[in-house]
Amino acid sequence: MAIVLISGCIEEIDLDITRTSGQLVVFGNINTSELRQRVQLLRTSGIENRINPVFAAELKLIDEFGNEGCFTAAENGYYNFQVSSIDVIPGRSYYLEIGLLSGEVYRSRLARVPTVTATTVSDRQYTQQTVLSSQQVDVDINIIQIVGETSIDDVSNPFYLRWEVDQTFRLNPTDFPDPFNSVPPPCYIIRGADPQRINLFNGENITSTSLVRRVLAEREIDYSFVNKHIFTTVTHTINEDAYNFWSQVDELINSTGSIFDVPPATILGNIYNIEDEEERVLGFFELSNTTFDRFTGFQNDVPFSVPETECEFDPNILRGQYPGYCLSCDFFEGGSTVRPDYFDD
Amino acid sequence: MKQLFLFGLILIGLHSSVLGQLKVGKLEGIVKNESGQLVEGALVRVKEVDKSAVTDESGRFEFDLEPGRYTLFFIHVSLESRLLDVILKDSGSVEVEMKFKTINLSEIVVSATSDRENVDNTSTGVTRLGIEEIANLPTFLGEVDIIKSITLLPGVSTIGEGASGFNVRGGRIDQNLVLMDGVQLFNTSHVLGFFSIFNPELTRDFTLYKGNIPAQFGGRVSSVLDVKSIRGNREKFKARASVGTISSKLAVDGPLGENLTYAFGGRFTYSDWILRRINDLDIRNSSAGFNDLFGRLDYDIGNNHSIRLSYYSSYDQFDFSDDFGYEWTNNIVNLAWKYQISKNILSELSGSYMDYSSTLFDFDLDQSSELNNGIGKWQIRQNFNVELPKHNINFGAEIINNDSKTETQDPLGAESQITSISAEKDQGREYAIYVDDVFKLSDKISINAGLRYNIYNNIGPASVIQYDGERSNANIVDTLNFGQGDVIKTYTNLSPRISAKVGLGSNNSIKLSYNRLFQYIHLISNTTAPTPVDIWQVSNTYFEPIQADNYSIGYYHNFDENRWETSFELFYKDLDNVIEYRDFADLLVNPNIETELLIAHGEAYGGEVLFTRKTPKWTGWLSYTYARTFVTVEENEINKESINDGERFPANYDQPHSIRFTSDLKWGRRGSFGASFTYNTGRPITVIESDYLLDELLAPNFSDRNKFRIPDYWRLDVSFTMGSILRKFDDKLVLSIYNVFGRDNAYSVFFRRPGNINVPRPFKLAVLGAIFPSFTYSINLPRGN
Repeated sequence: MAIVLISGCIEEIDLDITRTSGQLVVFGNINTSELRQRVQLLRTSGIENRINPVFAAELKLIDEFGNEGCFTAAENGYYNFQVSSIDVIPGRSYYLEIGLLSGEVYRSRLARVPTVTATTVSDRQYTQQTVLSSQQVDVDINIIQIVGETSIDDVSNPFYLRWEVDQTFRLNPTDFPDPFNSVPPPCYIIRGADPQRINLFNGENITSTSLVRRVLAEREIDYSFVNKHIFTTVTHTINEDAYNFWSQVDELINSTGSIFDVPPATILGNIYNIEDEEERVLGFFELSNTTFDRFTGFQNDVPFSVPETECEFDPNILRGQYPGYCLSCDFFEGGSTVRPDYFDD
Repeated sequence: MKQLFLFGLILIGLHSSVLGQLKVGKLEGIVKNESGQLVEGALVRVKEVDKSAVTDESGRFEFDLEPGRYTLFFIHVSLESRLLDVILKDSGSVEVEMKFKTINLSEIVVSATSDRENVDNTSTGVTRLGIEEIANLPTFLGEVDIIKSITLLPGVSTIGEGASGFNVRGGRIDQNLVLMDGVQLFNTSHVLGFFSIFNPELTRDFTLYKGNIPAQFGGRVSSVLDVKSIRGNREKFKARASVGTISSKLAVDGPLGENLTYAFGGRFTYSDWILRRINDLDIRNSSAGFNDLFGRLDYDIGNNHSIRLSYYSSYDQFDFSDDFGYEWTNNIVNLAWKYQISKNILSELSGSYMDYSSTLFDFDLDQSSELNNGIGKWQIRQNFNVELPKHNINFGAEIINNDSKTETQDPLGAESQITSISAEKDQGREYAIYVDDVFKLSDKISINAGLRYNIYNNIGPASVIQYDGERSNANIVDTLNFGQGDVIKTYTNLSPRISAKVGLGSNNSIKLSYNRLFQYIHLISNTTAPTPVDIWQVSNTYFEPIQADNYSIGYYHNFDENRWETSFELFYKDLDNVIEYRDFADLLVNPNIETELLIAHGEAYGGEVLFTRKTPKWTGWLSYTYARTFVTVEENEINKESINDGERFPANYDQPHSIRFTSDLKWGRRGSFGASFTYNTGRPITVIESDYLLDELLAPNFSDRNKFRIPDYWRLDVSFTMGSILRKFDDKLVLSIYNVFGRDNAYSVFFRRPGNINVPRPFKLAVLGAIFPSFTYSINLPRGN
């Protein structure tokens, strides 16, 4: 048994697989909070890690009484939800309708916003982890962990939770000399603190209204901690279908290849073509009862040395040699010169 | 073959009878070994008339012969062959003693009972092996293993190293009836599937039926593996022991008085001390091991009665760091009474009880849990064997009761916040009567015909959900409650078996067979390989019995005075009511498990070619198998979804091409070299064909089920055996090298994100990706054991 455990080995291989493309992907979350909410429309690509946004679609959020909420198109296939256009109320049912430029119409299955409200008090802790570097050497890295303690207002019925943690930080682009001595505006970046992590909780058989403290995100201490940074912990109470969807995604992306793995499969979401229900549409449209918690951090809070950005102007360095994030806010998908209203400078 | 001219203990009675003027007399006999044990399976040939017979369980044989002088050959794989001259004046009987072979280096023989078994046996796809025959095959960690040995036969395969169970001609692992002295077994593997539950020191022989299955066997649709244990030595005490770095075993047997014998043995492992020295935190915090115990008592009452009591117990556990753990136990008790009613009629009445329990530990903060399930089974069987001049008839009846235990999930540890839940499971009872006859239609044609009639009842207590249309929780309309013993659902099935052999010449024949088989219990498992905690589900309202129609035809030819055996077999299998799984099926503690399962149609076909060489210097075989297995799941009133849009797809264990080569070459008087080579086409997998973003998370989109294949598998093993190391003792040293080329064969291919790259890449998991040498020294006491 010992020999088996130490001799089983895992290595990357090449497989000759012809990738497919063109399937519609719909993903978004609409919730009860004031946070930004949006839906993204894409098509799968034959090229790895390439997205093909779907433009010029018309999206509506429709409740069980026929009231409609609207979306406005943004970049990269995102459609931002106009929060003021319709109230999202716990206990009420909604569905999403998508009209493509080609005339096809898609809808999500009618779903109810959960009535259970979960709130998380978040905090941070710092630690070190040993990881294998690209040179196959063990390296210690400094980590911040976002932890949370969650309480639930009602555990008498099954409930399901999902957490997300966002990081907002400010980055000063490189101030290249110019005749007007202008200073480039700072970039405000909002990004997932640990975007590849899925945090779920199944409350089908829970008796306590308080959950144990748990780690919700981990991030290496990098240049984003030089200036002020804010972590937003978002707690979504979702329905069973959404929980199952995320569970399946989690299962697929965290496969260990052991003999006890469940065979993978295509994850079916809750979107369908009203003319052709056999069409497989990927992704999921999620409705949630959402709360959030924020805390602010500064470089002095970090017990490790924080790497400086490489954006300080150096006349010996050519413009093209600076890291991309020093040149434009667009380097980050969530980057903008518009300061979030919760980010007081 | 040695020829010994001995006039042993011969008793020839001169019988006067009403028929004393008959020209044809009867020569009967009993064969024993030098320990006084009756020898089953010895071939007895009468040279002058080219007749042969095989001794039965009581060591008996008989011939109808005209008075005269005859030379009898006695052949058995583990005994010294001998020759006996007899003069038959009328009818008489002989008692023959065969000596043990002095050097325990047996030839590898595919058909253990006779050098003409390949051509003469009436049935297709039957293989019988003795333990001595597999003892010299290269082994993993020096452990002789029955299940691993049969995977070297054509038509038999596994999912991969470490997977429990075996697949026969496209059948699933739960479609094999595995018997130990007639008792049905469920989980036949120890921890991680590397060792079977059969202790080789206490196993006499085993027979695999993969073509024609006699009517006395029922309840599974693919094959029967019938394992027989040894009876204790009647004359003297014997012991066999071995001690190793991670495991030890001991077996003893002998007499307790004049009519009572015993055989006991046990094995246990202790690998944790090695695990704690590994430079990996997870492995240091892991543990694995098993122990098993087998005991058997045989008591003879007079010459015609024999009572056997046996008991088997095992315990397995595996913990991986602080992530998860398994443990399971197996307990079996069996009581049998054999009564030789007359010379030609043997009765055997047996009863057994088996209890299998398993637990899965899941350590996950406030959701830590302990999941328990299992199954209990009792079985009563009455079999009669009648030997007539031209017929060998088995008939009888049996009752098998399977009682699946309630599946429970309980909190584990003080931090766990889950509440206990449970799912009641079903009980099923099978009644069967059967008759089976092997007879000669003519000199060239012999038939094995049988019929089995089954009545199966699904029995309460149970709550049966009623669905409106497709089976989903949203369609529940009613619940019917049944009390203890109430019959909920009944299935009656007729199961014909027929096999025919047509002799074409003295050394070749054609055989055909057809079986219709039914199975009333299903292993519910949707993982890549079965786990010890998978659920055994009996047939009920929603799960009809699996029905299989098995066809096979073969051509068999021996050459060079039976030194070469060849066979070419084709088979086709059609299966209905096979269970498949929805994607991401939720099987654990699910009271409505039928909502997660789909009913499928299965189909398997292929051909097997086998060449066997048997000489004193060199024995071995080479086989090639082409076999395909497909599954079809269509959307209908039962299945709320289809798989692969209802198109047929390869089963998880579909391996189109297989090659097996095994060789045992003698070296001098005491040594032998063994080798075995295995090749399989890689089995099917499902792969990523595209991906998509969920915000910043990259999610994979997988292909149709089983659309691609993992890399092919091949492996070479070698061994060197030397006997009589210490001339004073009966001992043996075996050096075995498993996986000589250290090939890291893919057990599975899966996708995950390497390091901080969010694009999933394909990875290969190799379970035994290294060379495994092992030394095994064994000693038998007393010498000549």
